[in-house]
Amino acid sequence: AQEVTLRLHQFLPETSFVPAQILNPWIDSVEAASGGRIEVQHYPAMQLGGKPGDLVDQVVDGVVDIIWTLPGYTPGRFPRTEVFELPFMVADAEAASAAFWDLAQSDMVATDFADLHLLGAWVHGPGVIHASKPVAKVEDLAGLKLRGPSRVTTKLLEQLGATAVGMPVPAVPEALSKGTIDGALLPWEVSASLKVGEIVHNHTEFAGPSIYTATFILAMNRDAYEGLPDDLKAAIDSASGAAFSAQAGKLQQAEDVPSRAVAEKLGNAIVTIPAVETPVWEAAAAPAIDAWVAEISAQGIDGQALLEKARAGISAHSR
Amino acid sequence: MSDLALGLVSFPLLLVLIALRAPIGLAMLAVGAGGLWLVTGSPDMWLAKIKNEAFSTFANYDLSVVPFFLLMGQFATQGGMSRALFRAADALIGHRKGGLAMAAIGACAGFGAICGSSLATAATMGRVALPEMRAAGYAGGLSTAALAAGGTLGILIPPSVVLVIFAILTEQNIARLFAAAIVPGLLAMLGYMLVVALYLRRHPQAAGTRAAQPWPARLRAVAQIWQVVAIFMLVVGGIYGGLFSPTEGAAVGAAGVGLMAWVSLGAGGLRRALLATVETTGMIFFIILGAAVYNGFLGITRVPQELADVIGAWGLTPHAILALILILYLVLGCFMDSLSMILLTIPTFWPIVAGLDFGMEAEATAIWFGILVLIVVEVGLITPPVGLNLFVINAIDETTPMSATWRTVIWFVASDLLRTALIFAVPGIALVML
Amino acid sequence: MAGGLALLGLIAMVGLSALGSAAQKLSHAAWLGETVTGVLAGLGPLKASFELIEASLPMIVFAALPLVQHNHAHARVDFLAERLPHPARRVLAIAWPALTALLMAVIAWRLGAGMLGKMRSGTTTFLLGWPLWWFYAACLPGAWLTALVAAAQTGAALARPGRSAR
Ligand code: NA
Ligand code: NA
Repeated sequence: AQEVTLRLHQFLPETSFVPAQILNPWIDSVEAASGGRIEVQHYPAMQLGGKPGDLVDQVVDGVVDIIWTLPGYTPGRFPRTEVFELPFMVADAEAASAAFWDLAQSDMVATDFADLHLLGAWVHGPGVIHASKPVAKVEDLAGLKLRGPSRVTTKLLEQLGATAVGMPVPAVPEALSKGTIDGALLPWEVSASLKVGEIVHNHTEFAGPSIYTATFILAMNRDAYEGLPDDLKAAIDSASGAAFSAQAGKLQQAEDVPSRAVAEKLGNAIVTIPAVETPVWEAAAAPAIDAWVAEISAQGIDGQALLEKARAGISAHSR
Repeated sequence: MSDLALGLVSFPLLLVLIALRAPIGLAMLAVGAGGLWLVTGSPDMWLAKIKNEAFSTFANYDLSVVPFFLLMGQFATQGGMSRALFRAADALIGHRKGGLAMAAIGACAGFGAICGSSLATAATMGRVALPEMRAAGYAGGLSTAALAAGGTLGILIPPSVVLVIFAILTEQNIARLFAAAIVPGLLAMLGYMLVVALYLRRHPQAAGTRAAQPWPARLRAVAQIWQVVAIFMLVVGGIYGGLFSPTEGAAVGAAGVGLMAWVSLGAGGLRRALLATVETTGMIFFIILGAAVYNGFLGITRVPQELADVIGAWGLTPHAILALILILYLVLGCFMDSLSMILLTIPTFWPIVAGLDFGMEAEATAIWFGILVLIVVEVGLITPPVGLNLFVINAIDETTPMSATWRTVIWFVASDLLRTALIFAVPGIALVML
Repeated sequence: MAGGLALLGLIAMVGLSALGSAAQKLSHAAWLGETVTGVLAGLGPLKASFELIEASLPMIVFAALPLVQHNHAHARVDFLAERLPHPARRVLAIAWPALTALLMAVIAWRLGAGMLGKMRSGTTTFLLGWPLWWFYAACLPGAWLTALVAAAQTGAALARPGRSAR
């Protein structure tokens, strides 16, 4: 019989990709592994109140038991996670997610995530530049007003000569159609659900590591987890962790494929920057990375070591 | 009691508290927090939630439209634009039978085009038009009823604070909702004018007449409203045409009206406009906070989902369900104000309506529903016993007994109901501008 | 009044930002001639106006609440309560400000806790990187003052046995 009810709170409607294809299956496997003794109630679309930026506090304070969110919604709170959002780190979301989970276990559980029990840590598919004008070279970014998805990426855009504009994701289509912004950085999957390809007709992707990605965490209240009997902890553990995180990253990148096909079908121009040109972009982005390392080192974190660990982890997990 | 039962009981309890004169935001806040306490067995959950929610509920870019539009209306009031509008309408049709009442309604519509609030429109135009109507021999009931009804044009004609809140709750595009409201808003104005004509055929003695003005004077009066026209074109045209976001349009409008009204405004006018705006903003946002807390409680009891399931199980047609919802708004509207109703109910009703198939696209359904809700909640402002516009107008004209206003305002309510039925039957009226 | 001035400031900022971005849109209009479009293209929206509005709006609201409370400007329904017998009306006249005082004091206390939490976790705004706790702190005076005003109203209602408070 069911003994424990856990509330999972997140910001997207239940029919969106991640809730439907990653979170609900996770819930099912936890419930099955517990033999029906755990029930996870899924509250989508911020149904229990607050804004997406409140989710972390809600799970830390025990308002809810489990949350799914972007660390980027609380800038400054999870400084170490930003290493995976640095430019030209990630080509394969599965490998990067596995590396993120490893690095979270080795460097973040006692620091960034000290108030939480981490269940999953992954990144979305490679970020793509969607713009009203074609972007084939670094210089093409000059003067473009682009919506930056995270704090780190915003700094990068400025470094590359673009103007970064801050706004929430749902505001992007309207801003694009009115010309408030010339483009946005989004993975294919999100751009398709926002119908970005119907408004702007140029997309720039990278054959090698992409210009950015964003991190996600699935996390549980620490006391709620530790208060469980060992066999129920094991039920949760079996559905979570390294394999789950890698799988989540893989699913997200796989979902990019049909979304990219939508842009193709619209007849949009898709520029794929060949891997041989990546060093040019990396060189242009290097000052932004250096600035991040300096900034984070000022907080007493060895940014350079973290960056090298992240890179080593990603290449170790890449086939 | 089960969580679901608690959620269901909370609604009548809330209505009782509101009937007992609790501030509406306070009632929702108390029931929401208390309900969460009962569901979770301790106050901790609400205490933990509210420490961020009391901030983040207000930290919403779209909500900033509300004070901006309120301030624009205040500047227009303090700057005398309301008077210019009434003069122009009066000069054009004031000499006809019932013309002064129709002019007042037309001026309300014009003022509604730069003011986002019904109460402000009723109060402003009431102060301008009521003395003139009395001087011209209009019966008290007709004057007060026409202005109370005309006041609702403040919200029926965009920009509209109620539509902003509806758009936020249902995640729809504010600019498109504004555009959709234009034709129904103009229909409302024409309907009210028609009511005046019909009423005077039945009660010919209820209005006097006065002499027509010479044409040069008429044209001068009309020319005086160029500012209002310019602001409307700039703000609503700019938002609809894609030059501004709604927030930007509202800010530009407020700044623009403020600058135009600068001379007549003076330091005292500026101060009054700011204080009035801040007060109304605080009043509205306090209800928004209460609604956020109450809806968070409803969320945890799963009342919205269960209610949707129950209604789905009745096997009613989508139109029957929608009609039931609209009737419920009309009943609630007899006692509650429009914003409170929307904040209280849309989080529950919108998912139900969104799940129904009316044979149109999701966005069209949302906009059509939004316009219908806008009309039925605005009817509540002029239905007895609790109609805020009626109170506002009667506070200005203390010589007319409330009962006289009630008897006449029923005619205007009838025109609202007819318009609702028309748009219910012909959604194209709301969708034609899209 | 602080809320009103902050509101004016926000309007000025958003208005300028809007004019900037509108000007930039017009810069695509060829008929304006190259000199004009060149100047217009240099303008643009303020990139952080979005987050400044979001973070300042709570402060404006909490600055407004004491005024709302003091002027009895809350939305409420007068219809039934006026028909109640006098003692019941008197109880309500005391109960509502008392409940307001209590709940606003709790909210003010919790906002303070929220501020400390943001301070500890180092959460900042998105683009400017300003500490979020500054904006929480700005809400506190208004929240506490509202609780005080409501408490004073409760006291006044208690001290006034004869009349039902408005
Ligand atoms: Na209006
Ligand atoms: Na009413």
